[in-house]
Amino acid sequence: MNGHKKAVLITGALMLASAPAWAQSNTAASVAASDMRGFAAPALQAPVAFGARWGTVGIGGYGQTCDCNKQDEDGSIGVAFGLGDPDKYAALEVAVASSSLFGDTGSGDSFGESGSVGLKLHTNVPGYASFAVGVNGTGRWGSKAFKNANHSSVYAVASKMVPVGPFAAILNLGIGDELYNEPNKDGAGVFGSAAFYFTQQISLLAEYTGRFTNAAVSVAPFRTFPLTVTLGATNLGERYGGDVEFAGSIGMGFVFN
Amino acid sequence: MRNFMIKIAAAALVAAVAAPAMAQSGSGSGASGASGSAGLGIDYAALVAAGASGNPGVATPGQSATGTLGGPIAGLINQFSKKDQK
Repeated sequence: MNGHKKAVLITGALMLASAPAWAQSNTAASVAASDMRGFAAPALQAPVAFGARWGTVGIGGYGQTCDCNKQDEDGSIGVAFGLGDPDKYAALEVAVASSSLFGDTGSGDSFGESGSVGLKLHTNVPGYASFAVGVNGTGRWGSKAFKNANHSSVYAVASKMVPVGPFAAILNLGIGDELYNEPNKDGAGVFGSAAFYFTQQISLLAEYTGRFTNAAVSVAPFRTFPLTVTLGATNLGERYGGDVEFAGSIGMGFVFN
Repeated sequence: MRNFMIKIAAAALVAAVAAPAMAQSGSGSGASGASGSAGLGIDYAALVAAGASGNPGVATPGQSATGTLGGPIAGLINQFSKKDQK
C-alpha cells in the first residue's frame, strides 16, 4: 500500500469513527456520570497502569500494515478479565491474545495457533493516578519460530489523569525490557504516552513504546456503551529500516457488577 | 490511610520482585527476527486492546467503589461530569 492510499484510508476511517462521538457529545448533559461507559483510549501499544477489575471483561483486536509477510498486514485478538479491586488493594488483569490473525505467513502460525498471556497487577492511588507492574508475552504458545522471536517483557508503569482547563489528559510513564527496549539490548527502556481528551469520548494521543513513536486518535462512539476505536500511525521515525504503518484497534468492555 | 500504606507496600514488593526478572532477561528480540512481525509488538497490542489501554471501560469504578480512588478513568468521569454540569 503506498503512502497516498494509506493517508486516504486513515482520513476516511477517522471521519467515520469520530462523527457519532461528536454528535453525541452535544447531548452529554443528559447522561448521568454513572452511565458513562464509553471512553477513548489513552494509548495504542503502550501499557497503562490501570486495568480490568473484578466484574469486568474486555475483548479487543489489533491490526496494522507491515512489511512482515506477503499480505503486508498482521493482527491479533485478545480477551482480558480482572480479579480484585484496585481501589481497595490491587487487581490483577489477565489477558490472553492470539497472534497471527491474518497469518499464514510471518510467524508461520495460522489463526489461533500462536499467542501469549499478559498479566498486570495494578492499584489506584490518590489523585486519579495508578501504578502497575506486569508482564506481556508470557506463557506463549505456537511455532518454535514464534516463541523464539518474541520474548516476554516485564514492565512497571504509572498513569495519571491531569485536568487541562475544561479538558483532560492521561499521562503515562513506564520502564520495561525486551519489547519496551531497543532490540538486542539488555536492561530496561523507557516508554510513555500522552493522551489529550477533548471529551471522554475523543482523545488524541502520542506514545513512545521503547522502540516506536506512534500517534493516534481514539473514539468511543457511544457515551453509554463501552466500545473504543483507535486508529493511528506507527513507527513515525521510520526506525529499523521500517516504514510508517497504519494501525488500528477496537476494544469492547463489559461490566457485570 | 491504612489501605494506602498497604498498597504502597504491595507495590514496592511487586517492583522488587519484577526488577531481577528485568535484569536477567537479556536475550533481546530483534525488530526483524525469525518471525516477520517479531519486534513490532503486534502480539502484545492485542493484550493492550483487550485490556484497559484500548478499552478503558473495564477500569470504571465498580458500584462498591463509589467515593473511593478510582484511578485515571474516574478522573475523566469527574472532569467531564463537572464540565457537563456547567
